[in-house]
Amino acid sequence: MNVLRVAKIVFGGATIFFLVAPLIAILPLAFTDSVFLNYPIPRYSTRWFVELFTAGVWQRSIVNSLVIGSGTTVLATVLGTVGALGLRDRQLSPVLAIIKTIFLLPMVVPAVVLGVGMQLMFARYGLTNTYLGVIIAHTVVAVPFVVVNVLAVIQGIDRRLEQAAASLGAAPITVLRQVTLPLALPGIISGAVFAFATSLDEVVLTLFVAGPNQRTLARQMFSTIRENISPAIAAAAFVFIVGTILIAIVLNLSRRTKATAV
Amino acid sequence: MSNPFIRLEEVSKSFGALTVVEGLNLEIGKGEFISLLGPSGSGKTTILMMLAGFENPSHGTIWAGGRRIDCLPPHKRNMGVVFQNYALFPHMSVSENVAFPLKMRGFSRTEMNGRVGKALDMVQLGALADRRPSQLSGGQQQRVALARALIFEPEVVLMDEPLGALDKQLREQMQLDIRELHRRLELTIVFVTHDQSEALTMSDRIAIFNGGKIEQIGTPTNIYDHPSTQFVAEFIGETNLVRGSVQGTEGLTTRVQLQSGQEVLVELGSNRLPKGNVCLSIRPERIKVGRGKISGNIITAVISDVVYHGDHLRLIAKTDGQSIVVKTDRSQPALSIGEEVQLFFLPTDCWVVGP
Repeated sequence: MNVLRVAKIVFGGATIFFLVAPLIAILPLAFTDSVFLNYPIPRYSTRWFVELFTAGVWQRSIVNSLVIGSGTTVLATVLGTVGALGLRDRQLSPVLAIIKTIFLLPMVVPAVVLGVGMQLMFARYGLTNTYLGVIIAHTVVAVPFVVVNVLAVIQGIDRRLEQAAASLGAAPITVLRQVTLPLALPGIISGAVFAFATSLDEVVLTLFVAGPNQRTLARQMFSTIRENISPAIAAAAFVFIVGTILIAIVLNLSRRTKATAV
Repeated sequence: MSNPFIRLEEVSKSFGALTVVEGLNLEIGKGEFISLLGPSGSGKTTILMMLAGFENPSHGTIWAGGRRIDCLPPHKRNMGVVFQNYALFPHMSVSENVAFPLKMRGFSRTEMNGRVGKALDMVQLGALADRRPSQLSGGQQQRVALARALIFEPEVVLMDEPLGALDKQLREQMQLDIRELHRRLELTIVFVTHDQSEALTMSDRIAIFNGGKIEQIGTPTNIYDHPSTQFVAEFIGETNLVRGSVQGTEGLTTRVQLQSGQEVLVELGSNRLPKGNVCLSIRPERIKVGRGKISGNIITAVISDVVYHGDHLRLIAKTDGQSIVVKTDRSQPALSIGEEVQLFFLPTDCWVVGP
């Protein structure tokens, strides 16, 4: 009994270490004074954060990430939620089952394949090197996350709640607005958060469809690594991770409200 | 019925190859409390769903208040529905739940507040108006659901096993409450249940469903005392089914010889004169146990078990392989297993339920 408990703790601890060790390795370097991304750290300073937020190319990439991330979040959340509403029936007809698979396909198709296809198509419609193009590309990979999250919540909604609303005089659109969507909100919020996160760290599609003007933070980090290994990317990673932790907190809070609502 | 409020005409409902309701005709009067009673899968809930508009009949028409409603969507039918699981909106407070139908009808805020307050007082929940449904007990939630279904003064209230999830004591209290509301507000109520005692205590009329059809429809007394088929006799209350063959008829009295060879008299009180082989239903509480000579029908049997139920005793008596259950009060002198007794009952206490 005691041995088992110790084993559980050791195993759990080892797993967590395995997952966070790379972060532990990179994060302190964000605060280095040196120009090399290297241990040991001679002196601590915030110069790379200053660089991150003042150097033109980093500044622009942060703004780009926020613009593209917001656009993607809005577009993917709307599309994914509507899609989930349509796919909600538990007894999926074969056609619906196929459509559902198509919705989830971008999750498993290699990004390179998607990227090549998009580049060819976007070139044709003049969407390469535009913000809209990047937003569309990111939306394609973000929609599945919204669909999955919204569907999980929406399938748990008792149909009788909607029937009750209808019997009490609510027209279908009112039922959707007053009952279905408020109850699906936790799923919609997590979907939106996932969509934003997906857009934030998407690199491959961005490489294919974005021009120099749409360079996102992730893309900028990627090229910085190749060109000159500067500790600025550690600072960028730090910003990323703090952002991710904030997102996780938002997600948890939305789950919490869902738990108390039902 | 001279002027029915709701009329179902030749209504059928199939899901794929499965026919759930078949060629149903039913009329419900204004202000009537009708129970749809039957085992699960007998089609009673489907009928309620069709009345509410959540399902469309495959064939047939439904009328309510002189208008054809089977093609109307639920929100235009003006029917209050109470679900077994209450179906309260979890993201709204109690008063918001109750106000919902008024909001849908564009009531002003002041009028809404007044009506909600009154409705909550009616179900004695005025103090809990700001709570969330999840903070209420099952009985309280059910009362909120009732208030919500009644506040917009619907023409009909449909109830789908509304008391099924409550414990026995609360259920009985709610039965009385609903009956009282029915009387006071002169509501037309269609009540679906599989609990026969609930149907007996609450309804003006009961429709017994079996396999998508109405097996019998009538007042609770009528159904309990004069079940028309074996299924009804067994489904409503407890009964003894005894087989025999008709020997002859004198006036309204028919002589039936049981399989054991003993002969009993049956008086149906109508012009129904059974012939050939018959199945008799005798309610356990109509049978008396005696050791002396008494008038009426007498069956000699041997006690095979005595079961104590607190307020009454249940005797299992055997006659020629046939078990007969007798319900007696406790003033009955003690009987022991193996003892021979005479069971007697009046000719009007047995009823022919089939061949």
